[in-house]
Amino acid sequence: MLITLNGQDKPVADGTTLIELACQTGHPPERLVAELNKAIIAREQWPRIALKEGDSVELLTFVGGG
Amino acid sequence: MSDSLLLAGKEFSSRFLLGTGKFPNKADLKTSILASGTKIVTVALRRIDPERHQDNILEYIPEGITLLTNTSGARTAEEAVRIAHLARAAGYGSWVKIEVINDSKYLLPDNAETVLATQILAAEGFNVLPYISPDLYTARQLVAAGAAAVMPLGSFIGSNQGLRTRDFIRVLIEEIPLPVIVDAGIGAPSQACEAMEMGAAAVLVNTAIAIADNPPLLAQAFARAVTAGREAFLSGLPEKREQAQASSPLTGFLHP
Repeated sequence: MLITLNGQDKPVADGTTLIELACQTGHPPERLVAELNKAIIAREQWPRIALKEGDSVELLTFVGGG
Repeated sequence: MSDSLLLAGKEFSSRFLLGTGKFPNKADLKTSILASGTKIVTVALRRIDPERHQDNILEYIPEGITLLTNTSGARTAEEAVRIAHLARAAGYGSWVKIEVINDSKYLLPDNAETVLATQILAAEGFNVLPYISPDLYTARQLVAAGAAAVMPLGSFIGSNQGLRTRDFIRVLIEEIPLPVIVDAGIGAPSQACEAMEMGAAAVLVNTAIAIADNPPLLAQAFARAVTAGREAFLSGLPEKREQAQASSPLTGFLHP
């Protein structure tokens, strides 16, 4: 199925959870924060969130800034 | 003598805040944090690149340093609030520097949107440090909104021009019952020192240090200048005079 990750189309396996998607990026999940369809999802819930076709996910992290 | 910076009820032993952007290598960032003794650093929140894993900046920020997330990238109060919520969800506290910018040439903050974002986030329990063009009425609205400090710009972001807004910052220091933290445009320790001599509560520097040949050395120099300026302010600096006043007695020997 197709989802949107950070504004880009991304094919993922059916039933992929948010934690699985986060881990696939190679970034440590504990450094990430996620929005699913514009709603913030607490990290503890990521294993229980199964993504659906057309979902829009934002994965963000801290970077240098002034 | 303890002379801590007090923000939202929390004491910080340094009056120097460091921005973490633009450091060519992250090892220099960590050394700069340690060399300056800063207790508060700013960070930004951005999309990860799913294709490319990079070292996370948090690995280079020592324990015990307070993270102040900026809302850079926000063009409206609503976007700033969204970023603040994300930062809090990430689990690194509730300190947020509101930065709402619409103008890409001068990067001047939108004071009206900044006030709006401050009202919302302070009511939600965030410790809000709004970055503003130094304006008395805006600053008064921020006091009423529950800001923890005000952060007027010294000059354009990244310009290294120093305190071009000094007269207006002076007004804020005189009139606003919150810590005034001079942010943006501070390009040399002498300029940071001047801000502190005027009575600023703290100074935030990023670009000048990040792009220096030796960032940790300049970070240390800035921190010392901030301390020197603060001590000068506390000492009760004498005012400037138009005429000379002899330091030594003029009579008593050759011309009695």
